[in-house]
Amino acid sequence: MGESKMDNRRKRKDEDAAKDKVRQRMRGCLDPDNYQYFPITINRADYYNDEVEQNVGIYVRVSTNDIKQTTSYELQKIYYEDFVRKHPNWRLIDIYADEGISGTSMVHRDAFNRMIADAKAGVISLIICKSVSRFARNITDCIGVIRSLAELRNPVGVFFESECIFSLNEDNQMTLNYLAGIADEESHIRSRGMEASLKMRLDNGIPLTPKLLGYTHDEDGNLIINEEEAPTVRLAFNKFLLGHSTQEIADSFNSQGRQSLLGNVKWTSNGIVDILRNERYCGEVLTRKTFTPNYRTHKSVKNRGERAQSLYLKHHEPIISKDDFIAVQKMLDNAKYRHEHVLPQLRVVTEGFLKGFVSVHTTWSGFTVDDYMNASLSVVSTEEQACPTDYMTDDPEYEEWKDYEVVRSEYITDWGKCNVLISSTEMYFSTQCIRRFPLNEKVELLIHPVRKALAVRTSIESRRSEISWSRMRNGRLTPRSVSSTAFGETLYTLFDWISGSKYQITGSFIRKNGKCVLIFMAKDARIRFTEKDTGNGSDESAPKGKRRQVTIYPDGWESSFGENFYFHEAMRKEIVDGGDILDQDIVYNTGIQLNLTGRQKLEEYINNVENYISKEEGNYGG
Amino acid sequence: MADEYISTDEESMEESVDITEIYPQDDFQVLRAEYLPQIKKYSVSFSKHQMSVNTACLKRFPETELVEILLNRKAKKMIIRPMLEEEKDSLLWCNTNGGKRKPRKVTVKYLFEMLFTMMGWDRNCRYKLLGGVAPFRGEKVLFFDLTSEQQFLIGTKNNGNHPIFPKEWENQFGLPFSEHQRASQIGLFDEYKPVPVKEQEGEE
Repeated sequence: MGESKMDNRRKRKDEDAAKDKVRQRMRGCLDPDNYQYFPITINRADYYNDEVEQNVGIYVRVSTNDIKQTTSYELQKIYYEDFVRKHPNWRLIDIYADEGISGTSMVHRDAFNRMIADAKAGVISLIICKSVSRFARNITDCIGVIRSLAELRNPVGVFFESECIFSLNEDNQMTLNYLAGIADEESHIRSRGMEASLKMRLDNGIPLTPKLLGYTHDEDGNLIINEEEAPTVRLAFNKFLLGHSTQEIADSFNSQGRQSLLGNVKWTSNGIVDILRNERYCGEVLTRKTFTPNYRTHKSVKNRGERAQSLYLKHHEPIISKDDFIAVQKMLDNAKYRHEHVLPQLRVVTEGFLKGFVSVHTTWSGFTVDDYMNASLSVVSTEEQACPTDYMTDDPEYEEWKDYEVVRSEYITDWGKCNVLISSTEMYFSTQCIRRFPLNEKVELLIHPVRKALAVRTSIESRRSEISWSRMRNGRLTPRSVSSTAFGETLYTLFDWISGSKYQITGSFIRKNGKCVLIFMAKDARIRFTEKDTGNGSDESAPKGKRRQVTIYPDGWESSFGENFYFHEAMRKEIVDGGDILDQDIVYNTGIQLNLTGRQKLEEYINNVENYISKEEGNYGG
Repeated sequence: MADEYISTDEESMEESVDITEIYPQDDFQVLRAEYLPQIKKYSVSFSKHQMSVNTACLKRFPETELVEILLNRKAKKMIIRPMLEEEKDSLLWCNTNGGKRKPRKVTVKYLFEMLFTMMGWDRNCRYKLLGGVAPFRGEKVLFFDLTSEQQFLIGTKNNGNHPIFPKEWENQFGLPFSEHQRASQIGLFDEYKPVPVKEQEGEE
């Protein structure tokens, strides 16, 4: 016991001695002969120190183009010019002013961005702004910019007059962060308030109807037709219905001197599309076609269902009929497939060998799988369309020949075959196909959805569904590819084909009653693709790295040479007994029937308006 | 033995004796057709992924340019059927150059592979099938037995194809006479008898 007390005492003594040593060392001792002091020579920006020379930039902003806000802007400029003059060591470099620009984003704040660039370049060392909310309403941008300026080699400070905060003052950091957050939240709250207000208005009978070409507002704010501008709108729709492209319409409007909503004559294809897509021209109003998801960026995006919408029918007097408007939308949807004509019609063959075949419009995506199926079934029942099952089993020689198979032509490489190569974007008929038909003949493509067959026949005059599948080159007819992008997906679905694969089919050429037709059966389709030959295949003589064509045959082909002889005979009998190749077909109506303005009427209107223009001198006002 | 030879003058002919009384039948062998030129017999050949018929086939069907091929996997039989009109599975079996028809070599890559696999044939060899004309549902067709193939080793341009005969044919000209008689009664094509080219030309 006694010994531990002694130890503790000794320990405390040692600790005290050590502390004394440290105190002694910390007191320091300056030897004036061996010490030199260097004071600060470069003063950083300091709002509160008038002795420091500072290059000052003033930032002013008002967020709307309201005339009252312009007054505020001018007053700020005058005030700060006087303010700087009162500090003898300050030099006013520039007043950076953004008028009518929101503070929630730095995009489009040209003056602000120029100011920051000058600060980073060392042109200015001190920025003065009225308040944090003027500087930025986006907390990320605000704090980010202030910190980046503070971290410069020559730090640049920002003074917020209303809050009396200087950004380079260490005491103000927390307050600054807090105020920036408040400014950001104010913007957020305003945005939400606007959103709620819009919702109440748009979904409760008060849609927004700003001014648009062809309409003005009456004293109650309702849309009424502006008869000076309305002809421009009607012309655009009528011309498009007749098959003019949007670029052609824009060019004609420019040449006619037609004025747009903004009063200029600078029509573009996109401008025409905007008119054609605007449902207000058929008397309807659809709200929330776009919305702003982020209040900071102010960027509008298309509403694909993220916001509720309201459609007001018969809201105001239409310039264009509803049916014409619907037709134009369908045509616009298919314009990317280079569809150049008015709404196509689905036609189905009612008699003869091609009974049940439906015409295909390779540039139109508007017809669905069901449309084709129903069109075919409208003239022939499913049972009638099925392939024969009871084939000649009552033949007395059946037992003799029943095991014979007709070797399929796909196993024979013969130049004389009629092949077609189909992908989801194009079709390519072999030379033998096009040479089977008379020279320079346009052809028509048909499909049998139940039998899963394609047919090619001579096109009936003035048919819109005809395709150009060949061209003359060096005096010889050669194939050209047929675009099938619009129809490809439908075709693949009807034939149960794998998307992305290419299919090749060998067809049958049939000549009857002086007419020709090519038939391609989907069941005979084989997949074709190109792969790089690694030299590990069976052909050891093939150089490595060379591409080779690979063919994948349908399931079941590997165990047979071809179709059973009797089935083959039954199919042949169907061709013989199937009637003549006839052109009789009828229109199959799909979906809602549209009562379109007649072609003659469209042309008359265009001629009347454009002839009237040609009689006028100078620009046509609309 | 010399005085036992049969004289050729008329008097001696009346007194001729049955040679089989002098020489036993089975000391004679019937020379195999495979050792003789067969240009006048109907044949189809398969070699290097190609198929072609001989001129005799073309002459038998002078109006035919298109044919269909039928195969029976179970019975190992093949039919070449003349076609009147172009159809999807028909093929051109001849070329016409200067008015003269010549057999055409048709590339039948996938058919070749399937057939050779089915029959166990050597892809480095050429196979020739001799056939005949037979009735087929009211038509006349060319009929071939896949099991009666003749095998040839594919030669070079200057050194033609060499027939490959079965090992048991070594040191013999053909079947003994009586055995040959028995074999010909069965017939090569079951109930169908091959019709020789010469007789048919006579009928026409």
